Amino acid sequence: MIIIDFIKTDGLHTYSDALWLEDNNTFTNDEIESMKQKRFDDWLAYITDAPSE
Amino acid sequence: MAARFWVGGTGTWDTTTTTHWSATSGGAGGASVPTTADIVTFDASSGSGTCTTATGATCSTLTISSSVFLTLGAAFTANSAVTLTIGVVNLATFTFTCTTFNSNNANSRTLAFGTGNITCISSGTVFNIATTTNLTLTGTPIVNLTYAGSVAVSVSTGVTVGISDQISVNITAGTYTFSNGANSFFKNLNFTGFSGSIANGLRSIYGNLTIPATTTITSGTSPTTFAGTSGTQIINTNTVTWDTPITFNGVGGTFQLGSALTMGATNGTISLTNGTIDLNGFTLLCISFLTLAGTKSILFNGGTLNCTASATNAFNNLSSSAGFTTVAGVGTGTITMTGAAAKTFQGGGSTFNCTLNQGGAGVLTITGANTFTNITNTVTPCTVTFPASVINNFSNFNLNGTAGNLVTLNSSTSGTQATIHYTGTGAIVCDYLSIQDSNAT
Repeated sequence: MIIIDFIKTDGLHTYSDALWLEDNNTFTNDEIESMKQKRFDDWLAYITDAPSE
Repeated sequence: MAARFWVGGTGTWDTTTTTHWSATSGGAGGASVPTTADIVTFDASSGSGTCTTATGATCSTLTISSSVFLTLGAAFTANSAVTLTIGVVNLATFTFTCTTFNSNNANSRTLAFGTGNITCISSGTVFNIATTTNLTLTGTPIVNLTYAGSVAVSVSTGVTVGISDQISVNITAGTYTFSNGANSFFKNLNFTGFSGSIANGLRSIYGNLTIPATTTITSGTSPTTFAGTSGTQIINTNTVTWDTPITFNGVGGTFQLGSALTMGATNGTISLTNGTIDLNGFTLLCISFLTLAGTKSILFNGGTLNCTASATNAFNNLSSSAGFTTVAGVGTGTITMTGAAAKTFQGGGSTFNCTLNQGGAGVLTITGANTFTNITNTVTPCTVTFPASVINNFSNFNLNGTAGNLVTLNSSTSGTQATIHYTGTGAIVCDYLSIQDSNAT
């Protein structure tokens, strides 16, 4: 397993995550960057559209 | 919605492995991996060891009361409330997202922040460690509150053993009322991005306070204490009016203004017990300023302390002058007494490396045998009353009236002289004075 840690921020919110990829994965760097961005975008959308308890 | 229980001790919580998931406590593994709709429990039947989360691990409600350590291997999102009753949660370097986080109990538990953070996204009591008995915090504790709505949000952070363990809270959005538990303790408290109101509440801040101009602060009598004991804590209120008492009480700490600090007219009093207030060129406007027993200092750096009260305690260094010092720093500092009616500067016999300014129409009475860099006035006519039979020292003296609007200098006891002693190092510029019972030496 290859684990790629990354941090992304929009200036106000900071997201620290990691991608767990198979050793033999064939993702390109661009594809990996896109996965990072999607993880961040999805998280940002989730936290900024939160319900009240 | 299904219940999922972790079983079998050490393992990885990823999106595919079912080995460690059971539909019942202590039951057989092989149940489906939890989704955002499933309730996950780590309990006494989970075994022991470490559960390491991988990319995409998620659940709904998460309860941890177990010998299994939950360690993040990637960002983790619980789609509902998280409760840590017994056990260890290790954030490592990652973001742990949940609606609310509660560990308000007295069981043995550890919250290892590492360089990660907890992000609470909902309203209500979103982070609660009011009871810190048997709670161990490690790493750099950071909690982010991201709820963007208008329903009230509160946090309760009880005192922790070490100052460095106090929780930093970032409030990044919302128009709600933010409040803290009965007596909460924070490292940094940062409201950047917040546009709501901050309720009055008893709190201690060991780090920086940042309040944007979009915030309002509710008036109240519960004090905020700045308590950092080392380094420099920065207080930036963006001149939002702060109408609750403030206490500075951190032995060895420096509390530096990052903007003017404007205290409210009802509850805006300052108490200085321990530590240094660095005005940093800004104006600290308060009703009254009181020193208490401790080692304390005002560092002006060109700043101004403006005491607005028309009262005998407008500036009160009478009882706790021991251990009190003032430092000019860069530029000329000022203490201005702006009460429109009679007010008293109770110097306590200290040395004031600043200018004392008569800035209000009411009589300014000085008590104590003090030493000042300068004395000035910005209103005329006005009166400055010096203490009878006592010497006050000045290295500059700049009291000036105008034709028909004199500055009156007199003694606190009619017929008994007060002594104004010029130390011979600065300028004396005086005009249009009315002088009685005063001895200039």
